[in-house]
Amino acid sequence: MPATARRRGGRAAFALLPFGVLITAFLLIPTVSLLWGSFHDSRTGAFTLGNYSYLSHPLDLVPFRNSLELSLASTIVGGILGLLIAQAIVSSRRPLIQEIATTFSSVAANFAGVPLAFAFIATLGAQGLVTRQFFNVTHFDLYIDGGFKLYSVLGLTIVYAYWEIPLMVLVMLPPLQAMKASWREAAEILGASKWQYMRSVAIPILFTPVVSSLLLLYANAFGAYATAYGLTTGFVPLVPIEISNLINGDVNHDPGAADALAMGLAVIMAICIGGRVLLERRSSKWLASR
Amino acid sequence: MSRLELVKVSKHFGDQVAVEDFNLTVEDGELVSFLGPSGCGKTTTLRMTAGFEMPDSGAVIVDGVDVTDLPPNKRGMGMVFQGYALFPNMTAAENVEFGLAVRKRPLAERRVRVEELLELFGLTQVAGSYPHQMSGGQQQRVALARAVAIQPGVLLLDEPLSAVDAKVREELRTEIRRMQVQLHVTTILVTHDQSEALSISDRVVVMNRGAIEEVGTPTQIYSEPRSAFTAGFVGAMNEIPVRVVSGAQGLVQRGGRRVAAPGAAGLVDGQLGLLLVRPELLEPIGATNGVLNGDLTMTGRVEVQTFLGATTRLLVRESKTDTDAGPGLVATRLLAVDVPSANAGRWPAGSELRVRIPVGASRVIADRSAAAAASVAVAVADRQAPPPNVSAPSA
Amino acid sequence: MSGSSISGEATEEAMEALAAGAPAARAYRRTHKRSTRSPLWAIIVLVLATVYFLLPLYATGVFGFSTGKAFTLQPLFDALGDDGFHSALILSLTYSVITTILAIAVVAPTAYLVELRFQRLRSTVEFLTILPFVIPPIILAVGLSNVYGINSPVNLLSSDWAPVLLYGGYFVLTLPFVFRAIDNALRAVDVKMLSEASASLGASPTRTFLQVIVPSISLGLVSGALLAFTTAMGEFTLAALLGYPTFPVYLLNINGYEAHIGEALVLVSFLITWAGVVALAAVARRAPGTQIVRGGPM
Repeated sequence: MPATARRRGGRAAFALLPFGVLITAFLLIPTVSLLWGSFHDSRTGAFTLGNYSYLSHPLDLVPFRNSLELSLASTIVGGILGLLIAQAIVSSRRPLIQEIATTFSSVAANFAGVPLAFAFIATLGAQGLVTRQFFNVTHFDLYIDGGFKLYSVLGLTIVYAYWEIPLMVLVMLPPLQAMKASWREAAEILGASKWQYMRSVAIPILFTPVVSSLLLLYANAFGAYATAYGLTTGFVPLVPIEISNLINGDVNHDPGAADALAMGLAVIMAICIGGRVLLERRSSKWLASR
Repeated sequence: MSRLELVKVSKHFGDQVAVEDFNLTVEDGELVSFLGPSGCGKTTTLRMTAGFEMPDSGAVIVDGVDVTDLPPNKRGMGMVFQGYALFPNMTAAENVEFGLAVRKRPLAERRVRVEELLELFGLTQVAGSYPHQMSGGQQQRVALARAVAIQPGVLLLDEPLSAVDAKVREELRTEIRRMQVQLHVTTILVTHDQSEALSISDRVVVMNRGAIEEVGTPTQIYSEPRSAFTAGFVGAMNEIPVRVVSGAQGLVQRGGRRVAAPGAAGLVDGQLGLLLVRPELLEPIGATNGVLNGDLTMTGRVEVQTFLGATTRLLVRESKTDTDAGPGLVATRLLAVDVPSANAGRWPAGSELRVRIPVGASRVIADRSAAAAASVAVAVADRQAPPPNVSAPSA
Repeated sequence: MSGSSISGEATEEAMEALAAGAPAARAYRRTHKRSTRSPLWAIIVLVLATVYFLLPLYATGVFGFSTGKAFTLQPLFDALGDDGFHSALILSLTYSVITTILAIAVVAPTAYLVELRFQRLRSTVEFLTILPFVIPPIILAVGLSNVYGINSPVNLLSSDWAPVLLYGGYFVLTLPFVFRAIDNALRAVDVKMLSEASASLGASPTRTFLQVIVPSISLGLVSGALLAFTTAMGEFTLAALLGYPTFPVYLLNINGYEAHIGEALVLVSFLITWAGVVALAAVARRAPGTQIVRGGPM
């Protein structure tokens, strides 16, 4: 390469520096510190694998079990209902409905966090609107008689559903819209019933986008902190909450353990996101074909 | 018994008329095309035949059996969709096999039949390929093979070649015809491409705005169109206003000449009509060939030449004045004259050209425009009222 | 196959089907008459969904805009009068604006250079922009606290440079969507051609970037900025764990002791989110493919 080009290339690379610095300082180094800290005892600073002891029997760890349950539940609920709603939107064939639904789904999905938590406290809390109206109508108090608690995995699932469902809708709308009506008609005129069409054509095609979306939902649920904290202020043990306790708590302050737990969480996220990337690469060619 | 009958089929979308009073009988083994501009109702009619749309009134009858109330998957028809609609998650072979698998045919039988069809359509090479790996022409043929695999009583083709390149289109349509004849399958082809319809059909149904304009063989449609629409839509057609002199004798008049023209019989004397002549039938008059009596001639200046391959189309602006053409007839017309490209150099742009319309090369139809309608009224009134007093003083 | 004729055996099936049941056929006709309108089940599902999603908002409104019985805007005024509210809101706005500017100013040239000249780095850069998804806020908070927290050698938190920590953190969090928004916009435009044309006319690379590239990707910049801004405004985890009293943190605290005010503010924040989405949708209408949702955990 001629000298001038190299110099220009060099100066251009200079412009990439801010990005590099920020990424290194605020993403890469902290991540490395996690890795490092997870292998070192918080008090003595010695190398240890002890922080990872939870890996040998993860389900014994209450936060882990709760997180797994919660994520699974909200993924299933969000996935099924989200798919149903997305299909309803596509089947309605009215562009106005599609636009409204997309806007609203975007808002609901962005609403997650502390505001969502409090919105649900106002709805299903002990003094929530729905709780009280339900009592007025049926004289059955969800909390006293039903033992329902918003600060529980069940309650969290309901709250998480509020943003998991719209997220599923948003992610599944494009693949559903890409399903050509002519495929169904072609199958029909070849003699297939609706169910045969679903089994032979629709489900195989939609399988990849659906699984990819479910992975996204799962990752979202597992890694969520703000909503969970806002709703329960740590009352329900979850992995993200446990991590924050281990850093900020006075009693069980243990950055090493927090790091190890965080690494575990990161691995789960990586599996989900990685799975998505792989699946996306495979499915796009089918839905893009004429 | 005819293979397919469409009886008084009509369909409205809201207050929009999509198809109105469609009647057609298709014989066994025929290839009938529905030809018309977009929005003429041809696709809607096809879809009603298939069962994807329900007619508001009328019936679809196959082999004497009324199938109007049957869903598409029970009608025993095959269909090739615009855009092919191949199942993207299946290979070519699996696509072709689909109809047979649905009917639970034994595996061995399916395999044999799929292989036969793939060979018939020249697809053996791509049997294991997926749609996104195939060319447009290959996808097209897979779609065809898939549709005929189930041995349908009627085969429906919805603009099967519209997505294909021009060159491939010609090859493919010949193949479609060849296959259709070989398999002896009654076929309906929807297209807006008239060369497609004309080249491979047994009969053509010309449609316009939801109604059948006319039905005929390709030759009839092309050379003897019965309406101005058909004449204009199918191939290029010159429309020359003339005045009907005598319907009974088949005489029309233009530019002081009277010419015999078939088709004038049903017209009112004095009415405005349109003389229809194909561009290739207008003969430039050179020094060598003279004008035969009884021929209509037109003179003009060549405005532009359009090279069409074997022929060149000359656009000629007629240069007669109003009085010459005859009262009530628009003077300067733009004529299309097709000449062999080899000779086109004789009439470059700007040059003068005189053409004759040989007797028998033209037909007269009624001019359905508003001005012409007025002329009919005038002509009729004229014959009933006493002739004006010629010597009456002008105001 | 030659010589074989289509026996129309499929037509025989049709006849069988007809013999089987005229009522079924009539039923089919009935349901298919409605082919041009929305199916009933879809309408039911959508209505139920709408009720489910509007309910919490309604409940929030009821709580937030009442002091016990009647509807009143008093809680809102109380909030506006609260000093904590002011400082929290201003802090959040400040952080959000600066984060947005930082993100756009750093990512835009980077994405441009990668697209133009450093294609080899593309996969690395894309990986780095996906990384924050794998490192959600909670994990990032731990990492940042490890490196820059109170107990670490580089103690940013206790220093005057404390805000830098949050800027950096928010930069990382908003990176995925800011990059994707800008990158999509860049790819929609032939960057190479524009840049070469500009250079051939004598413009310096900086001028090319500022006067040629930036205007042509303006919609991508706007949507990226909107996403960054709304994300930063609503971000709770990082702020709470690192001890910054931003608006979401204030929201959490105030709901502890003044529920009405808290709920009123929740509804307001919902409306602001809505405004943000509408703005993004307006951009998306002009530039199809714009991302409107974060799609990452909080």
